[in-house]
Amino acid sequence: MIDDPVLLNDWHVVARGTDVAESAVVSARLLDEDLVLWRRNGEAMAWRDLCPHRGTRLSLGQVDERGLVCPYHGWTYDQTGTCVRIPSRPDTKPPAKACTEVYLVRERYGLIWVSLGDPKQDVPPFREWDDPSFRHVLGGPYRIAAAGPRIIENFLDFTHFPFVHEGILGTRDRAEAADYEVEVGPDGITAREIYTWTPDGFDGSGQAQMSKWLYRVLRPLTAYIELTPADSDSERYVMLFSVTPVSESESIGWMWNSMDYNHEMSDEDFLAYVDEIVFQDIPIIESQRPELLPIDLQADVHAKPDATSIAYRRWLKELGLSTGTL
Amino acid sequence: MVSVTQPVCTDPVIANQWHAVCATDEVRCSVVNQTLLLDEKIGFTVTPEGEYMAWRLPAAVPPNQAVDPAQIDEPLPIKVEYGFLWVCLGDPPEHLFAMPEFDDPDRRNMNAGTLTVATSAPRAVENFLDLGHFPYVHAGLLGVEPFTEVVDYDVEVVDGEIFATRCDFYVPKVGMNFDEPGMTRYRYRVPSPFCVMLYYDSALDPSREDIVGVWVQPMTAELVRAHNYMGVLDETSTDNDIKRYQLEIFAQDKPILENQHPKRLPLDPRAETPIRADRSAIAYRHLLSDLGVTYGVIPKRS
Repeated sequence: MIDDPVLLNDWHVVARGTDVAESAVVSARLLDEDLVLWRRNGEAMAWRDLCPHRGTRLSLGQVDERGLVCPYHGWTYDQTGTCVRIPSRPDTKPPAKACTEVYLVRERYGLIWVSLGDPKQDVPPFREWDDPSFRHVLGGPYRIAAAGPRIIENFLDFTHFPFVHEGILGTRDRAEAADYEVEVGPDGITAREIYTWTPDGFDGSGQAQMSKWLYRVLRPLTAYIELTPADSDSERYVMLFSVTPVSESESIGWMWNSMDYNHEMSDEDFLAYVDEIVFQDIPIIESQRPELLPIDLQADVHAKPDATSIAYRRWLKELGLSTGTL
Repeated sequence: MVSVTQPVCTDPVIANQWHAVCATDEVRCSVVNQTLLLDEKIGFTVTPEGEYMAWRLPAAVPPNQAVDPAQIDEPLPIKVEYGFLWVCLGDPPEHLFAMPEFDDPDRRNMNAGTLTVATSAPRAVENFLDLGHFPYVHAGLLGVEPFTEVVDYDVEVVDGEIFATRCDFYVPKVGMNFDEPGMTRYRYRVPSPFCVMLYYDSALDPSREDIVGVWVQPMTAELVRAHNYMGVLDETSTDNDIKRYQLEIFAQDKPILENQHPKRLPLDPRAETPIRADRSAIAYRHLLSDLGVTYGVIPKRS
């Protein structure tokens, strides 16, 4: 397990809720820790993927009426992770030591969030989730061979649009970025009043327009965007993007894309649009050197429109994040 | 002449053991056969006259490279026993463990196949000693629910070998020529640190025993080849059927073994959660500790 209190004491997405069906057993990896996920009576569990008897992966096992059954000797663990049955000694009470390592789980926004530590805050907020005027499409899981902070920084950056997403989110002849405001508070970072020229609309509609962006960094590896036309709030497209640190240099991105208009576009078309953009970003992110995000601000050359990145790096340094950073 | 090169393996107990590297009926004649033993590349061969040889290979060689026996200036100690070629990289004991039953005229001594498994040798041995996993890993073959109880059995160490006796278990199909499910009395033996054997009453003559042996070749501390030996009294099954049954069982163990964590066997008694049914495993871990084995294990903190 990666020993980074900031990330250990935070929430991370490990699966979609639907990936862990009732009685299903699924494996996941978070911060170099192997996890087994399973579900009983609707409740999702996340444990260390290890039977304390013989070090066997519980994710190779199955669920029966008593709990999760180890594939090796049938040791069975109830929802609290306590061994309730040792088939080779059916009349003996299992030893007190026969317990799995149980982690905290929250199921929100159709995703299973796990904390390996003691989180001081709840899962990041996503108000639009409960707003019936929005429909939601999940982009990902995107597997990215890069450190989490590099991926979030890319999500916060709009000056790459004319180059990486040319024709979709920008054009090279309109690459100039105006100044904007960045606020850093105890709950993260907000950058607002950012205007960009979006030649395909900000949703692939084909309608060239100026778009207005609002960015929020909610947690070290979770960020949010609200997109509207430059001159109105009549159409809102929001994204909640959370990056799971599988290891220091391997990540999985989960991106909710939610719109309160254009409901005639199919989910498939919406997702294809999102995927196209993300798959343009991935090779760029994976190519970045150093692989870990330098939070010593002298290390990279910054331009004025990088204000959000600069604030993000400063904030990570203040929080004391060590994983994925230099 | 005996090798003067020091083994790479720094565990003298393991370096000085005999290790099976190949069934003799699979050693290809007059060419370099290659394998890995205790992190060292070794070559071995057999001449048309039936003389076996083994030596250290400085580097891998192309397949089917011819052997010139005169060029082997530092042959390794070898033994040809029980249908297998055994090699030692250090200073070997004079004798391999005894298996007098091998010489029974009516016993079918077989090479029952070799499987490569990404685990340590002690994890593989311990798995073989374990009855409790039969109804789960070998469901329908060696065990079946609800017959999961492992009743108390006896474990003793005699002349450095572990014996577990009176191991009674309900088994659907002990071997190829066993037709009826029922209680079976097993006897386990660990004749050397990385070899393990199982004896059970023969279907043909219950006064005698069939034998299954697994000779675990440590390629590295976390990668092994498990050579399966069978010596059975069986007049009806074909060699292929007997071999296939043994390999089917071992193939069920492979994913379990390869997913254990840690791969090296922890010798500290508090490291995992042993129960009474694991007495033979506890004795095995003790024995490795007492011998001072460090290869393929996590030694007990002193």
